Amino acid sequence: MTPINHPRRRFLQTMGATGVLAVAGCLEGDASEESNEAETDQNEGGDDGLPPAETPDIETIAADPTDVPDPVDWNEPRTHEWHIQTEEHVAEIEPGVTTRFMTFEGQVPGPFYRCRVGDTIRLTFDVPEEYNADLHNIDFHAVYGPGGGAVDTTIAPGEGEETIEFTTKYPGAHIYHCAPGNHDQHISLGMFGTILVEPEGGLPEVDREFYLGQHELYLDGETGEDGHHTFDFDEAATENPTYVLFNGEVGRFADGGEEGPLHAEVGETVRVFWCNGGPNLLSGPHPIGNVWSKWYRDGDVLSDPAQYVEGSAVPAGVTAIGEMEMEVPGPITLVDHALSRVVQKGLIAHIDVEGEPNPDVFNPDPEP
Amino acid sequence: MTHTRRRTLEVATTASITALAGCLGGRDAIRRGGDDGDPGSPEGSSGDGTLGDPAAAVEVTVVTRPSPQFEPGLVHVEPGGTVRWLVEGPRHDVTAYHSDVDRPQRVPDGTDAFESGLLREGHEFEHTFDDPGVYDYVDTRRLCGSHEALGAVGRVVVGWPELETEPALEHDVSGLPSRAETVMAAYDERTREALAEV
Repeated sequence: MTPINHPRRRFLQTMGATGVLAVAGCLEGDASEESNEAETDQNEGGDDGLPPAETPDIETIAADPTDVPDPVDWNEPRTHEWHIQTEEHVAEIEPGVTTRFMTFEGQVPGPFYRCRVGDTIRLTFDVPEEYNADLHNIDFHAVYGPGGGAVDTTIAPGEGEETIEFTTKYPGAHIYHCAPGNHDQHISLGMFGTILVEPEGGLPEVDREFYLGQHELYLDGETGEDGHHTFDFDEAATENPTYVLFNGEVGRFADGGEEGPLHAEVGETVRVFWCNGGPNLLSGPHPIGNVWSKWYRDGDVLSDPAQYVEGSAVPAGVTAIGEMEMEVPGPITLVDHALSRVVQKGLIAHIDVEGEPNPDVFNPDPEP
Repeated sequence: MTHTRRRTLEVATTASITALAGCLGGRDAIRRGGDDGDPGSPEGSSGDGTLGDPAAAVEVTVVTRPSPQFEPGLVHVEPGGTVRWLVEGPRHDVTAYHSDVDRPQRVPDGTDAFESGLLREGHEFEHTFDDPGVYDYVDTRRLCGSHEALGAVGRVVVGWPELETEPALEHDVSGLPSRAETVMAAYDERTREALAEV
């Protein structure tokens, strides 16, 4: 996820009917002069419409679903040094529709962190003034401690980095997220991700792993409305999202999307880490054309996984793990089976499975 | 959520009853601070309530966005002056850093604690400060972290106290969590500068 410009480029918006006030703050200085709040209240302001879409300052906000660290291959506790910085970026949700995302490391979801139970993490956290207008912190659900680390990582832009150290005492896939008071805003706009703490014996070996982050955007415009959208606290309070997405973009990893489908091959076992940032909605993950042959409910990796489940319930703030067997070629569609979110709100990804047909399992054209 | 402003009068058990005097008369005389964060001040007052320019009454907004904090966080009133806190957002409070409420003592010794209890959107709280001194306070509400850790701390300077004997400045800010320490350290610096100039 490489920003197009370093340092951030300033964007002058065309002054629209809404009388955007942001220009003065955009002429010089850094991100702290930008605002994550709407300049005017679109809901109360009548039909003045949105300000024009802003020029993205990053090519895409979406994390690469294949960017998953290798499995743990060590047998004794070790210490990791992790550096995480927050970055706010203007990016496209779909063509012509922009918002200012909040991220860990410039991507949604934040990076996938992987370690082994008993490992010690020395985390350095930063909120650089160059990239941030708001204060941020990080709350790991894998951490025993105040706010899961949030209390001691709270930083306003430019205040300088903080370091904490924690030992992972329990295994599982866990969410991490920003906890700044307005949790719903920051998580909605992208500040969530997964930390996987592997058990002592590790997870079963698979052929391929994918990592997807589901979340809702609550915005002041309509779904698909051209222009620059801003987070809408009222829509969040009523849990009425403008978009429900994987990785901050409409269908990026689906047919016709900017990146296109993910790839797997017949005969493989594929594992999906389904990170539901929320901030609010319960997800019902289902692989259309396949089944979760193993399902690690709520990211629990110690209990025996459920078997052959079509779907399950993943609450906001939970990463669950599913595994599929690639028995036949063809597309698998990953959806939240609350399908209005798929049909109308943008949540969809495909895995194209390539390989030899397996007519014993599925035959699209049997002999008469 | 109600937008009706309800007056929340502090419980007067331990608090000085003289605080009520400031509550009864001042309301209409107080105007809201400007968008630049300057506190409001009553008509005819000598000061505007910014540090170095004490007012008879000031108003502080307790905001939720972009993050919980007091605006302005540092105000200056005359002895007998009143501070009114107005709440924007669902859950906040105004609590003195006072040992009586299990906080580090960061108000003048011998003064009573002030404590608003939970304040919801549109509610307000007032306190009158009779004795010169430096009074630190905090929003104690919690979710993952506390509003305190997010930096929601404030200071009321009353009159022109001798800073050497003020618990607020005697005590090391490093005992405060996370951003409370950062924000309070900045208040200390500004307070020393402003009160040393005179």
